[in-house]
Amino acid sequence: MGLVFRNVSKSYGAVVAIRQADMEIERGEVRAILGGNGSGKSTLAKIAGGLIGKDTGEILLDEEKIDFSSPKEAKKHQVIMTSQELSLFGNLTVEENISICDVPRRAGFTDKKALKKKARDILASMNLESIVGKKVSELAANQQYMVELAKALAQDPKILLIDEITSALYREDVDIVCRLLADLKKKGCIILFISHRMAELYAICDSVTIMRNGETLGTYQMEEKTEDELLSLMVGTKVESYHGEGRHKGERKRDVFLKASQIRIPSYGTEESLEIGKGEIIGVAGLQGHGQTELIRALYGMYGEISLEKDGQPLTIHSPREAVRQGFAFISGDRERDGTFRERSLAENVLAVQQLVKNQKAKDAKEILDGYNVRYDHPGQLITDLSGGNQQKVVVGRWLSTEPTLLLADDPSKGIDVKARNDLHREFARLAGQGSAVIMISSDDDELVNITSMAETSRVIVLYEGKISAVLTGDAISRENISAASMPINAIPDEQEVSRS
Amino acid sequence: MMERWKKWNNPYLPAVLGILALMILGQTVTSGFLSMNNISSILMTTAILTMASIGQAAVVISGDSGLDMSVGAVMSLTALFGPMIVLGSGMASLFVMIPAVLLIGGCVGLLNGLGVQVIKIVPLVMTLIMSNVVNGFAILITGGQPSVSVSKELQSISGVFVGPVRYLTAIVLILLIVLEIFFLRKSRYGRSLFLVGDNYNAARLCGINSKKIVILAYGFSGAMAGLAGLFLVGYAGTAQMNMASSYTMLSVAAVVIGGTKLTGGKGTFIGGALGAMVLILITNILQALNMAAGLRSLIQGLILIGILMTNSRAPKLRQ
Repeated sequence: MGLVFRNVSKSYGAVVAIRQADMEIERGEVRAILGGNGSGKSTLAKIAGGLIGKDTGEILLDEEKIDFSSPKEAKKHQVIMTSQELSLFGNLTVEENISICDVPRRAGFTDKKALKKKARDILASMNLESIVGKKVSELAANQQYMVELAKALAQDPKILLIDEITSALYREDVDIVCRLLADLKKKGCIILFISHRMAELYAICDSVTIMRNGETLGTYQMEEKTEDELLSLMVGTKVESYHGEGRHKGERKRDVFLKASQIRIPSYGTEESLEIGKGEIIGVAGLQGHGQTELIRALYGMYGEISLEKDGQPLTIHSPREAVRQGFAFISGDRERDGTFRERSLAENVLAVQQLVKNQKAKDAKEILDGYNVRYDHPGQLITDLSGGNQQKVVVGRWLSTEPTLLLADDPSKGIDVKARNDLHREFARLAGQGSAVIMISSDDDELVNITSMAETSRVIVLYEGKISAVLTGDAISRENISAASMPINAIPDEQEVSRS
Repeated sequence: MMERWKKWNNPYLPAVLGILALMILGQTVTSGFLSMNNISSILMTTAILTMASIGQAAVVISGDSGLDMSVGAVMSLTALFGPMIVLGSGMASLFVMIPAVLLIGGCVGLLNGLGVQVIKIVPLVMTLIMSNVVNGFAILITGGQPSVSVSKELQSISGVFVGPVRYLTAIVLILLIVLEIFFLRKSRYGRSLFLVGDNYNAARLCGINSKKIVILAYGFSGAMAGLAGLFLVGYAGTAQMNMASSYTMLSVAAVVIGGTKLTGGKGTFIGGALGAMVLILITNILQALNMAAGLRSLIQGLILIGILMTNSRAPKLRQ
């Protein structure tokens, strides 16, 4: 009979996270849960995984009531959760991390041989032999996610809960995930899959349950509904997903706003140059860890001194502080590390730059929060009370309210829902419309195609091993072209010359 | 309205309840505990510990396991050298002493800050080393046998101002409120300090000079400890080597009892003052019981462990 949720509710104080959710999943089924930020998907998964308790309702597994009080108890029943917050130990090796929940022992000590063998078998089945023996902290983000998944597989799950594990994966990783999940399906494993990426949902899942405001609205077979139909259901109003291809303006003469002739990319020891036009949106693509992040961080003065030319005048930037003074802004997708002040209020979070650095006469915090459609109670509440997408809107509000002349965005829509993402794109496009420049990295090629179609002048640059391997403009900006330029084969010099425009 | 009340109330509540409970306990154990005289001396010692805890709080708020373990050493140092400043009249020398001890303490603190932020030594280790260096310096200069005469003017800070409130108590109370409101909460530095302590990296990306903010927090702590040392010697009337060594741990405990998070980014000076009062009351009650000194410090230590334990678990209990 599989897994059944009946009338499950959960509230945090006055905030209702889940309202009488109902859901049935058969054995061997991969079920997607689709919903906006704060719609209760993660909460539902966490309840099933024993991370948090439910208030009312019941959960049945094969017609038997289950009510786990801790993840440990859930694990005994082979209910395994992988979450968007990684549960890995950076100082341990990949193998150790994979076996951490069930360390093989011999005579009271860790059986290192057995541990390594088990982990290596799993890694081999995932085509990840290359990361054997490395420490997790040395891995790129997408590889860390794969280790997280390998760790879940090592525990031989009967129910696997995947909470947005794919938000930082690349296409080749997704293929591996698809294959692994197909194997699990054959064994009768139930898989709950939470993701914002429609392409993955169609590739991986059998059926989808839509959630909105904590309620389960309905379950559909994936093939029954188109992408736009699902999104409309999820948001409650009709929306269209990205349809940017073919809408790009052709290349035209632009006023150069900023010229960076030497941008150092430390991890590859390479140097690149970039000319940034007024009102231009530059999308930065490439496989994870090929220098995209470093490119824009270097422009922001984070790796020490960088010489630029702004409006024809030479300009040297030593630190982020100076970059901010010059009207630069930096929005990171890694909110916890680079964005939010978790112990402080919304007002402090949103006014940080304006009041403390720029010395501007501050606008009212409320005005900014409302202006960027943040859902909140009052400006004095902690930022952690908000959902991830809303937290990101606060960070976006913080920066855009200072009216930056150059916006640097490092995968800013990571882990936020489609609607919030569209809002974000609109804000970025508006900024570009006012003559500011936007440089945005995304691990989602579709997103880059979409946002670059929203500006008068735009380009997508693709990085490979710390070098720009292709510059796409106009109609050449498409998912296929970005994807092709990201792959090693196109980095061969001749090819590169062809794709450079 | 409810929300506001809650927000104000929560961090201070344990300390306030503790103070009330201890006062009642003190009065039941020894009559005369709440006498004018005793209250007056409790407030006085609380004021000195409060000075030390203000600086400690700034360092703890600055985050990254920030701790200033040199508070006691700096206090001992200025308690020795502060009174040595003699300049014409007694009053004039007092007015030179204050900036002098602020400067001495501030310099030691800045060295701490540089060690932590530039050389990247763990705060606990850096400030402990500094504590040893400062103590060594004091022994070197005085030869281990200080002869310090504390001027009448300096001693007059323990004169009665009004009721049980002595001059020093009043001065510290005013300083506390001014620093809390105009330094910690309103000033650009104070607000940046919270952000840096909460998320160093994000603050840097916002264009805040995180490094400078943290270094200055250590400097501030040193300066406050310097001032506290001068107050201590004024109150005690005589100076000894290492006379303030116990203030290091006490200031940390006071800050924690006052609801400041050891992980940084959150806290108040007033909380530290309340925490200081709790600690002084405990000491005072144990003294009133005529307990042997060894047993007293043993029990004091156990109580401290108990308080810190409940405090570090408090967020979980509240859920």
